[in-house]
Amino acid sequence: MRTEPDLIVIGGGSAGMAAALEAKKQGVDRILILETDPYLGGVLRQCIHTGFGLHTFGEDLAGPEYAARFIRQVEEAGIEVLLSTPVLEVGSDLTVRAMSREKGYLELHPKAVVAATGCRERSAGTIAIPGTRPAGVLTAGTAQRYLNIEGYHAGKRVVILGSGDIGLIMARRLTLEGAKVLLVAELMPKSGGLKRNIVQCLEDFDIPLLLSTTVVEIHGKERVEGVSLAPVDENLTPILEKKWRVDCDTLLLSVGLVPETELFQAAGAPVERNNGLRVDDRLMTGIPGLFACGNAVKVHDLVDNVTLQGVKAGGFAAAFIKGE
Amino acid sequence: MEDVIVIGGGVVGCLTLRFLASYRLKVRLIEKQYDLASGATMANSAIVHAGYDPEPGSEKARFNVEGNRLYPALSRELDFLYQPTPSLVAAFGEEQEETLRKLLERGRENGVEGLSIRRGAELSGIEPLLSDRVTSALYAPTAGITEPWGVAIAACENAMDNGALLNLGEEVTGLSRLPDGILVVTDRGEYKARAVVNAAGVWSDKIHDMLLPHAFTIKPRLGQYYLLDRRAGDMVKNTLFACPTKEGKGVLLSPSVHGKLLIGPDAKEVPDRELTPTDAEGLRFVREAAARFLRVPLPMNLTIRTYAGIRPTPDTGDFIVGRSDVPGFYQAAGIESPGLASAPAIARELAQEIARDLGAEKRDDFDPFRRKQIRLNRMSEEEKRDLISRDSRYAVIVCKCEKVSEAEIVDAIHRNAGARSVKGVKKRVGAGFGRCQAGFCQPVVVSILSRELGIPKDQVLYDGPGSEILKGKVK
Amino acid sequence: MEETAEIKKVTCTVCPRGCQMTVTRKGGEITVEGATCARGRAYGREEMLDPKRMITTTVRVDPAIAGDFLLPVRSRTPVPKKLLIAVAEECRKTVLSRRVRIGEVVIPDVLGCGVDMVATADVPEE
Repeated sequence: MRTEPDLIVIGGGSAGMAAALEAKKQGVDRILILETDPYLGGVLRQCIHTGFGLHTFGEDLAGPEYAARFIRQVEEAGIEVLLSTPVLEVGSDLTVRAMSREKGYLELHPKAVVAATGCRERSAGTIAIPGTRPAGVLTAGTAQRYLNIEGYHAGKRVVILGSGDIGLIMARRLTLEGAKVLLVAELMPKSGGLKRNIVQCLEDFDIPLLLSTTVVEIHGKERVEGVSLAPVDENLTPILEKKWRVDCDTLLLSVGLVPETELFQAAGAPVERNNGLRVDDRLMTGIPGLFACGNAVKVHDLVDNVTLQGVKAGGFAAAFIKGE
Repeated sequence: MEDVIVIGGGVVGCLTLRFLASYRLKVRLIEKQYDLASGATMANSAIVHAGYDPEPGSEKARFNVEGNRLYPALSRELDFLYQPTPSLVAAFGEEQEETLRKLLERGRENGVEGLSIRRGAELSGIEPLLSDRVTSALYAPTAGITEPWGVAIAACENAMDNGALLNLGEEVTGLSRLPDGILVVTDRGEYKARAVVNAAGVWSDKIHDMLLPHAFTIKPRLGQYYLLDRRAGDMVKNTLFACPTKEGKGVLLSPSVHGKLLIGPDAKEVPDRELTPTDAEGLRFVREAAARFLRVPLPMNLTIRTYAGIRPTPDTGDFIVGRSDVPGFYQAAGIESPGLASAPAIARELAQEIARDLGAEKRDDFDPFRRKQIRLNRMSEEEKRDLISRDSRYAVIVCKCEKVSEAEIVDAIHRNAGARSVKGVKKRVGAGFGRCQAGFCQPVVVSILSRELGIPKDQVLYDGPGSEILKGKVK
Repeated sequence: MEETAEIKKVTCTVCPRGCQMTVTRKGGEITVEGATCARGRAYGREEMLDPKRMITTTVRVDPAIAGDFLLPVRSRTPVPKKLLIAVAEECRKTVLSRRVRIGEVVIPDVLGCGVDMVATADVPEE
């Protein structure tokens, strides 16, 4: 890009693409999307299940299909995209420093920035499960990537902790690909996953969902050999006298998502308790000109809502650039 | 015939190998595990203690103070992470101040420089968030923090660059005396050596007993830790200790060389020498014990990992270092805390002793400097700009949380004592060490290891044999 | 002799509300209790007669064309629930010998159930 962009969108997933497209529609010409991965669409690439786009398109699309529609629009709109270009730093003055093999080191000074960095999965480390640290403990999203993108099983006898939607979706995927999902344990008395997923991913395959139950110990030296489970009381404290062991080779975690906002926190942008960027009613963060949308603000259940918020953020950023 | 075989690839063994390599000696290190630094070196407090804690006159006291002094220069030669970070031993109330005075006296007797007792307003200048309940503290400016596994790996690599040999995944099963040395029997073969160093960590009593009558027993102890993400990393400027008790130095709070906050350990005697499980009770103890240091609550929600480490605690109470009753059989056994701080001094002295006994001269072609490791995430903007313009491969980021590039990973695989597993990569370049704990980058690291080692992805190990991450192709 | 009734508890998945329905079949007659809309009642009926599900999985493409790439696919419309595992197995056995674009049929009339499997992404160039 020879001239400085007016708007930089950090993250080329559903939120970022929607924001860029809307800003373009509202007359911002010089827009640049910076994406860390070598492709647009973010995590939708590996979400090959359907359930996307019911609100946006009135169709039941798979993740890659939903992403493809926006990727085409971004291309058609002539919005510049730099792939494989991680942002290293965002200044409180909106200076953006990034780098890529192709473009080298970049220092850019846009008039506005949209933070659309999505979220990450809570890891085993975060929730401090007691026991050993063998191979075979991984997040549902990482297993999803191994299965759907890399084409490898991450495990054959699987216990899933947490009944978040990714965990439920993975229970079905693993079963369809021939792995045995032994059970899903959920700490809370009620699953946070969508009803549809509980029926179609667990009940359809007779996979037990154990509510008010958690993993209290991981066993195994090199590879997971089993986990101990126990029911929890009303304070969510495990009742260890009732613990039992299940032999398995894998523990999959679907224990929540955390907005990925550290880049902007380093610039001084305040976050809420959920680690999401604090935004005002124009989706502007604590840093003037830095807008935010999608899962970097709050983890959304539906991608359609991420898109909607992206559109809004793109509009507000456009208005900001035009001095409105 | 080898000149010297070192048994054990932890920080003591690797540094010993490295100092030995500076003499005209043919040296080899044999390590049972698949990678270096897999025992006590992998998970400890990472503190280069100043040396006020050990009993004056003990081996611990002497090696601790000497080793501490060697760290700054050694970190430059071997290019491992080291950061001078003073220690504060906090007294909560007057009765504990007596302990501080004893430590001060002990430290001075041990030769520790710069010790002083600080109180009141002075303390908040040194440690702004320190709790008001800390009435005084022993200040030790010569302490530091490091990356223990990084020290071991760097030392072994440098030794190998100078001709030393490394056998990983090979277990010593027997030792016997020969007329002119020692026969080392392993699960893979036999080696004759003029000298053998026992640096076998938690197994050092068993190795000792292969040649000598039983003299000490290792009582392995487990210590558990919390690691908090970078945003908590600058909460403390110093390493904070409570007054030591019979059980040890207790729970500490320390910045890490990776900019994170380390909390722990507890201490529990355990039956198994290699399994390192955490337990809920111990973790709760660590949380509660650490909470008293600061005037603000610890942000435990920033926890990115909990883990436990094993320490080779000897029942003698002191290190067992040097010649033994069997000529050519040298000990570096029972090296518990302050073993990390002491390791360079133990290693240097052992190497000198062995070289003298074997009549070996210093080499004039020994290169003490390890080839610099490029660490993108520690570079200034100018340095990054310059690096990428020279070599664009460094612009390909694999670990987003810690900003580790593909080129750094490839380099770590192909160096001497290089990475052969996902954990090996993590130890050497820090990929997967951050807030997502490899959720994003592990599949990429697996691909890189598969490509660089020329093995299928489902043979890529997490750590040792049997720790394959993937269970075969789906289709 | 009195005809026995077949009773099924069904959680409606038509919308996120998730009505708990009781579907009863007695003789030729099916009744749905607990549904709050017509679509729900229809769903309840179908769950009793012939439950259907969307299926998504992946299909290998000839490595000479696409290397390690796995093509994500879905059924165009729901397939009989009892065929889910068999359809997944069929897809696992399939190796596509041509480059397809998003929306193209990958396996027509899979297992003769009248539903096509279609690509949900392009096979990448190069």
